[in-house]
Order: sequence, then structure tokens, then C-alpha cells
Amino acid sequence: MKLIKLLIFVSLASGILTACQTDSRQQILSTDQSQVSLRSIQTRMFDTSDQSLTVRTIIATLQDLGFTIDKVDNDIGVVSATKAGSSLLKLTVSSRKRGPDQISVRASAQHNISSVSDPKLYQQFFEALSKAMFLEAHQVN
Amino acid sequence: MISLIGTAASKMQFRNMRLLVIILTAASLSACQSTGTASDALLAPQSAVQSRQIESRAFEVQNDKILVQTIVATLQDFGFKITESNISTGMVSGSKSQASGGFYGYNTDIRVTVTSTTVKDGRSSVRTTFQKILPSYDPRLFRTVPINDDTLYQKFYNGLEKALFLSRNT
Repeated sequence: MKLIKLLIFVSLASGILTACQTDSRQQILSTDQSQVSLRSIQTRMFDTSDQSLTVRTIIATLQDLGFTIDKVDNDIGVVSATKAGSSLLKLTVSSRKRGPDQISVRASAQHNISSVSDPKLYQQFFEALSKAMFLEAHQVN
Repeated sequence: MISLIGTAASKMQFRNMRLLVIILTAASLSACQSTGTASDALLAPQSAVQSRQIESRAFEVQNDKILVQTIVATLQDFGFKITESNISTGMVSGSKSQASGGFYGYNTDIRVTVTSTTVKDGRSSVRTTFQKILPSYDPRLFRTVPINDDTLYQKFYNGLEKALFLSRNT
């Protein structure tokens, strides 16, 4: 009887210990959405063929929103930025040509230590970007 | 009898001396083997051929720009922030913060660097390395640890394959 009690105790204890020790390797490439659905949340199309202008508009929009620009690559159309307010928001915005007169812009964000898949944040970002694209396209300063 | 005890005592002493010498030698040897010399930093955990085999994969792709843009998109798929990119060298780096797991409760950064060879005859070889940044009480003493896990690379390359397929067909 004592032996059974001891066995139960040991197995429970080891169960608790292994539960605490989550495998951090599993987290590295873990996502809560599929590749395709995540992309549809994070991507918008813009009617322009000027990628350089798009990158500059993305930078301007991020500045409007109070971000610090960390890196820009004009050749492949990537901008990364960070905003450290009450929490840390890291953002990467990439743009690429789709056909002759369209450019797709994709934003992906990490809030503190978790990736953001909530559509609301992206809606807000693209709203600001669309306005800025309109301003740039019509040269309103 | 006394002489017997005497020889026994001297034998014991001799043994003790020998033990002392062994302990001292071991201590001095272990002192020689100090932890973390500068040249330790250049020791590879496994052979270059072996690690390249695990970390590399060949892909069919139209051109360098599409390849680098697709690598960026794949890293975004997995929630990485792009920290560096260069089309002429075919390189993209990214980072991601995550809870380290275990009892300590601190966060670690995962860094990834993807390099690709110039596209030739519609093919390119892509190599990826993942590193874990281990924080320290002293910010100058943080360490990077390579992550050698076949399944991790497999999962990443499956994602890249899917992304290349999507870029070809959309």
C-alpha cells in the first residue's frame, strides 16, 4: 500500500516538473494561425507600381505612429521598426510587386514576447498607411 | 612489534603522500583548464560538413529578388522581426523574443540568419542557422548557443517551400 502511494507521489511530482519545463525549441517556429490565413490578415494591396515610394510611405507612416525605424532595405522593400511605450511592439513591414501596377504590403508584429495575429492592429496600421499613400500620391504635405 | 607498527605507519604516510600528490596534480591540471578562453570561441561543436548538411537545402526559384523576398515573408510567417537583409549577398537575419521555459521565467531572444547562393539555372542553395541568446545578470556577458535540431530546420524549410509555391502561383 505504501509502495503504491509512493509511486503515485513520484509520478505526480515528475509530471508537475516536466509540465514546468516546457520545451522552448517547440516555441521557436510555433504560430497560432496557418501560413495562409496569417498572410491574409497581415497583407493589403495598393494600386501603385512605385516600390521606392511605397517604402518611403511606410517609413513616414511608422514615424507618424511614433515608431523608431531600425532598418530599411529599399531593394527588397523591407522596413523594421520598434515602439517602446508601456509595452514593446516590434514591427516588420515588407512590400513586393504583384503584377505590373500593384504592390502588396505585409506587416507582422510582435507584442512583448508574442506574435500578433489579431486583425485589429493590422487594420489600424493599414488605415494609417492608406491615408499616407493617398497623401503621397497626391503630393499633399 | 614496534618496528612492524613503524613500517605500517610509514606505508600509510607514503600512501597519504601519494594521494596528496594525485590530488594536487589533478587540481593544478584542472586549474590549467580554465573556462572560456578566447580560442574556445573558435571551436565548432560539430564538423562544418555535418552542420552544413543539416542547415542547407536546395530550392527552385526564378531569381534572387524573389528568393530573398520569400525568405523575408517566411520569417514573417513564423513571427520574426527582420533585423538585416541584403540582396547582393542573399542574406536575411531576424529575431524573435520568447519565454525561455523552465523555472527562471526570463525571456530569451532567438536569432536566425538565412543565407542563399546566387540563383543559377533556376536553383539556389539556402542555409539557415538558429541561435538562442542566453541573457546574463551582466548584459555584457550574454551568450549565444546554436540550436542544432533537425526538426526545426525541416519545419522552417517546409514553410519556405510553401511560401515559394505561393509566390509562384499568386
